[in-house]
Amino acid sequence: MQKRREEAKKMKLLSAFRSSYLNRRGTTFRSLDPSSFDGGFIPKPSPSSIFWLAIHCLCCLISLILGFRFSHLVLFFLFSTSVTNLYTTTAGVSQLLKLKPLEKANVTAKSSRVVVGRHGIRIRPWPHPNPVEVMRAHQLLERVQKEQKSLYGVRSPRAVIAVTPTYVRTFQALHLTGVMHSLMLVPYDVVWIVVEAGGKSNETASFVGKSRLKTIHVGFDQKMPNTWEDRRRVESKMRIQGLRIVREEKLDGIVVFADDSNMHSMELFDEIQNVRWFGALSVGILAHSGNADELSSVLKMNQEGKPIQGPSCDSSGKLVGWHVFNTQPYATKTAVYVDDKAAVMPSKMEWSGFVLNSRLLWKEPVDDRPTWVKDVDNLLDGNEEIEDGPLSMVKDPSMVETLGSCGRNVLLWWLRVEARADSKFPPGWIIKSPLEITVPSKRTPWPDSSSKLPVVTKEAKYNQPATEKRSDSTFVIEEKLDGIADDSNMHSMELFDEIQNVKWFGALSVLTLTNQQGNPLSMPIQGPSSDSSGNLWGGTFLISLMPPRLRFMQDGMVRESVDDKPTLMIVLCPWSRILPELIASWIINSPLEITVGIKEDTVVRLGLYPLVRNKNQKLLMVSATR
Amino acid sequence: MKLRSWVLIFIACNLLTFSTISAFRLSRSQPTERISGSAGDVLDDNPVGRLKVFVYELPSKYNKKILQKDPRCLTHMFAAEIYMQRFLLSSPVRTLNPEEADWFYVPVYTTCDLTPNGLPLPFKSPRMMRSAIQLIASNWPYWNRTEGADHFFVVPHDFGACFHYQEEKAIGRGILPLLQRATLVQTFGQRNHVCLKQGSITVPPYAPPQKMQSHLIPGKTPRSIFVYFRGLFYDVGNDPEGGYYARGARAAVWENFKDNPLFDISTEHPTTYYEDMQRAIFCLCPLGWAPWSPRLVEAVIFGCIPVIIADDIVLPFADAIPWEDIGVFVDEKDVPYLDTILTSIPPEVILRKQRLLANPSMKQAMLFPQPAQPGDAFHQVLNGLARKLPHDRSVYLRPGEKLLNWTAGPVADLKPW
Repeated sequence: MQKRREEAKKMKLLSAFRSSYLNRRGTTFRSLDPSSFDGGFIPKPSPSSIFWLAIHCLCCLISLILGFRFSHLVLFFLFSTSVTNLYTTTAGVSQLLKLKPLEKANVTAKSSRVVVGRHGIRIRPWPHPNPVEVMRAHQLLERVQKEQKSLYGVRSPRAVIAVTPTYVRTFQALHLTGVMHSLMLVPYDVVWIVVEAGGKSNETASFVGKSRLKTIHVGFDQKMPNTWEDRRRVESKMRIQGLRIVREEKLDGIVVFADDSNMHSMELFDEIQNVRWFGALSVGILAHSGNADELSSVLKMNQEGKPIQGPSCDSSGKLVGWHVFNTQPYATKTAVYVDDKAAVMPSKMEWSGFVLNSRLLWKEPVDDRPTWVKDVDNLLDGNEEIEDGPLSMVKDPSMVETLGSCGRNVLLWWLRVEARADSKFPPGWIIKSPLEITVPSKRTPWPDSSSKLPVVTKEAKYNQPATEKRSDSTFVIEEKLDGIADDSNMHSMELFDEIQNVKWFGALSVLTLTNQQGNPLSMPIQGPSSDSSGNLWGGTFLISLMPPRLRFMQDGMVRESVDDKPTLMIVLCPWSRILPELIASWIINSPLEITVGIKEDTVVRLGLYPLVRNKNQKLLMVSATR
Repeated sequence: MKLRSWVLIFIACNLLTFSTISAFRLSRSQPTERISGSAGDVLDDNPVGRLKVFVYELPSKYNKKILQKDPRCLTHMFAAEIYMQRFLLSSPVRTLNPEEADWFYVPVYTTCDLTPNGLPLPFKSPRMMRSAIQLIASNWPYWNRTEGADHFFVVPHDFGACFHYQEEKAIGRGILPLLQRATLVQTFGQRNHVCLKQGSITVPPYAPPQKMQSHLIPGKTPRSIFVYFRGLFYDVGNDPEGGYYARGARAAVWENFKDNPLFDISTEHPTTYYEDMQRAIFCLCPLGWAPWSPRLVEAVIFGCIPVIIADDIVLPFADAIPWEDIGVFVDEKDVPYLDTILTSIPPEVILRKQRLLANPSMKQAMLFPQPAQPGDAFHQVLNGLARKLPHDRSVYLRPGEKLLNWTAGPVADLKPW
């Protein structure tokens, strides 16, 4: 790069040289020609002839210059038509040219023929963008996108009313955070109705409160049962409860059933704006048994049927039927209990695949209410059981509006992963007592092969928000190296506030959510642990991900800190090995200078250093800076 | 004596001055292509019924055999010469009676000679072209009637009928002498250039229509890239010292804007290239070795405003497409101020350009689809040919009159093919 820059500098000089090309040519005429005539025509100069000669030279020079200029003029007039045509620019550009006197200085020069051969590479002296222009560029982008929205977007958006049944459990944090973040990104008005089984709880309330959405959080006085079948039934009831609220509050908008086991694409919320009364969408079903081999064999069996549930149309786009997820391959392996080690099958028709206009639920008669939708009063008053999912709300299912080009675009997914019902988790995900230490901080040598470490099947991880960094019991440190964000992580928004506190390198607790909790008594958390004074003294086994490129500045090695304080200890594997085998990393407080970037295929195992802490020193986080 | 010397000097000086003028005039006497800004109405013209084209039947060694040898010719950016023949064979403008024909078409695939890397090297093209012309001149009476003035050829190479990929060599060669009177359909276009003769029709380079179609993404996808470019900045292989390639303009783009966050520029061609163009507002179309580039077609198809950096470029169908309204023209010397220039364009102007780009007839005119569709580039070529009709009486030679010099040009070109 440096080399190239030097080269470029040379080019720049060259360009300057080029630009004076015409001038140079002019001067050559002036300086050379008269002198050559000088010698050729008057061999023996006498005083008078010298005088004449001087005059001749002068005349010659004048005529030369005049001729040269004249030639320009002639050419200019001859080709003036083309000149004006060639350089008509759009209004915008020409306005700009007015702004820059440099640009309009020499219009005639523009008309000169493009010269063949070597040209300089023009580099401006101050390379950095002008902040005013950058701002203008962003305004332009915004304007263009606004125009796109007005062309393709929704004209008169309606509010989105999301109904979410939930209950407190280990995986609630994961699921509810996902749905909450999706709803937070919806560019329309959102009303979020959260129905909680077993009554309102603080855990759920604190989640819902973080969303900054308009939420209605209600309890449902029935505990969530332990079998999938019962759970589904209760969840249906809870959704009906949500619909009752819509009726009572007379909310106006589009009702979506956002289960906490759903993941929504943002297009979904644009798409449902098209619904008039009752619409159906395709749901991508990610049946997962938690066992990769089993899953792949199931998928193989299920190749003909796509893992999709939703409406199905004929070629003319008319609804002709429903595509139901083929559960047959799973017949023998379907989970019954919530913590079963088998694929969880969706119910016949998932609620999340349907949206409806909230006016259908109102008590007051609504104009042009379609006749093909049943009167929902019976249902909402509890006089009627709902048995066939939301489709039982319509008399004629063929009238259901299809969304997402008749279900061909899958805009939301369904993935139900749950922990054992008796798996423990800290309330509110704040760890009150120090984690048990599986790896002592002073231990040397560090187990150097990752296979020796307890391998945890990583299904999902939850980055734990910290309460207070120096609070006596909770010690949550940041694990963040130049923005490692695994796509199997779910982050709370507090995480991003918390990591601002990192100085160099930090660690934080990670909840590993596996759907087969082997030991229901230990918490599925990895993270550092500290004593009551907040000193790091050990920790639950911490697993963190590192990008494959980690270059340590200055002589390419981890520099041991000068003041004999311990340094960093990392066990790294190549990127490809990261997913199956987790990487152990440990942290320490010395201000290391670390940057990213190491050769892709290099496997680096850095030294294993004991972790010692300076008494007076607070824990300084070590993190990477670019 | 004194007087004489004075007069002599004066005359000498004047001679010198005028010789410079005449030198300039010679070099500038090349035709200038007029760009008029009429909107897309001309694009919708139907050429059928306005002209008749006779397609010569040449031995297959001039076309089909060459293609069989290297089917890659069907996909590279010079493929227009092949598709043009296929189109004409089935077109209603084709006539089997040469007597009623307005135009004669000679189907030779002169560019279909690729290196292992897929780069066309037109070293054999002049001989092949000469051979084909000799053949039609001896077998049919029509060439000799006008010496090619009512014939047209598709020469989509870098510098058209100059048949060399290096500009200096191409200029040195000039247009093949035998094609002096013919109408050339070529991608190359630069005003006042030896390789662009009056009456040539500038066409867009070939870009695969189906492939582009399959990469279209919904129009509502927000355009979030300000400036986009993928391609070479330095052609180290052919231009080790730099400054020749793209007249230094591409290198200047890189050196000035490589660290600018508004500029998404790189040499890597990602698989999302077509999609990225649909996510960008401006797409740079700088010159390369030749002033034109397939990016221009891609930009129009994908609704990305082309930023044309190629001084004096003559754009495809410039008489029918209002390029000034669609694109942004930046002088090569202004490349360092590209960010200033682009950010100074008022938003209304940008939106207007985008609206014009969204015009389907504009996109259609850039493509050579299979089979041909109304308003596509084939039809634009025919429209261009039809607008040249009727032929001026002067193109028909008197009996015995000879204008072409069959022995002109480099000796190597005169060898039989």
